[in-house]
Amino acid sequence: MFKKAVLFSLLFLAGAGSGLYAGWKPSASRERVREWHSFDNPEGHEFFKTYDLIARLWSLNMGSAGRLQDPKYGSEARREYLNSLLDIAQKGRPQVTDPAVLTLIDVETGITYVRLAMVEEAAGNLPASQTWMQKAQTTLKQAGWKDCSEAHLKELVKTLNQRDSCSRLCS
Amino acid sequence: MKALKLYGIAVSSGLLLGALVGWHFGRTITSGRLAWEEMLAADAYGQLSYLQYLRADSEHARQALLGFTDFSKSISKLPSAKGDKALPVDTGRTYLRLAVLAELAGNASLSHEYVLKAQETFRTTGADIPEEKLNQQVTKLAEAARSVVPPS
Repeated sequence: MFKKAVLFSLLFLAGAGSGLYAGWKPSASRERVREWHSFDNPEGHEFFKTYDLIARLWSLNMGSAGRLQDPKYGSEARREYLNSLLDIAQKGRPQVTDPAVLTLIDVETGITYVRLAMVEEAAGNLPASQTWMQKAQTTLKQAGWKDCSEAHLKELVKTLNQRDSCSRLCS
Repeated sequence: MKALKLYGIAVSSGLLLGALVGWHFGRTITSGRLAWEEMLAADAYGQLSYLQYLRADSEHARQALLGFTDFSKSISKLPSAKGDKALPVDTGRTYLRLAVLAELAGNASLSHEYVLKAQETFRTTGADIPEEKLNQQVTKLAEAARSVVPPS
């Protein structure tokens, strides 16, 4: 009797597990189709690429700001995370054609360069810090920034680190 | 035979219950995730364009702000954007910033056009802000911008 009850339960659980998967998959994909069905045209595809890239960059931006604020993360972890943001930006850039979006990607990239410069400076790697800072200045100048002085960029990034580590989405 | 029937009932009832729960949570969690992605993308574009407004020259600032208003128009068509109350507010504020840039460039009629667009956008949130009040806001912001960057 006990064996039968155990077997019954196991079969019920196996059925429930398969059912869960079988129910989850179509309902999740149905939601996604419903979300994007009005964008099923070339313009919509372009918008989706921008949307996806911007959302991913911002998510990494908030993660970077959080890691730079949190003392439990060392230089290596911070460096790695910031480089992953640069990697996503670099890979995503060719998929976007809108010049306004490309400039915003440059802004995000420039800010990440400043963050890397600050990480290297804190780790005592001054030549690497200077290299990142120069890259930041060149990139942000191209994005039309009026003040690209080192002091200004560092001050701004400190403010952004505080703001972005818990942006309006967290509140 | 009886035992086999019982096991069949166990599997099929589990399958049915699992499918119902899976369907419900698949829908709820995915729509929550889509809403999060929508807010993330809108917040990202809004914040970066605002940064451009504050730090870049007027041409780049204008390009970024106009980019955001276009992006906002597209994003608001997404079902997940229906509950995003911040999006029209950010868009309205962006129109006001565009009005400030037009004002600073000496283009009063364009500035007025943007103020009207801002008013219309705020109205979609239920806030009917008088044009006069928005004009005052634009003048105040333009004066603040002028005091930071004196005319050359």
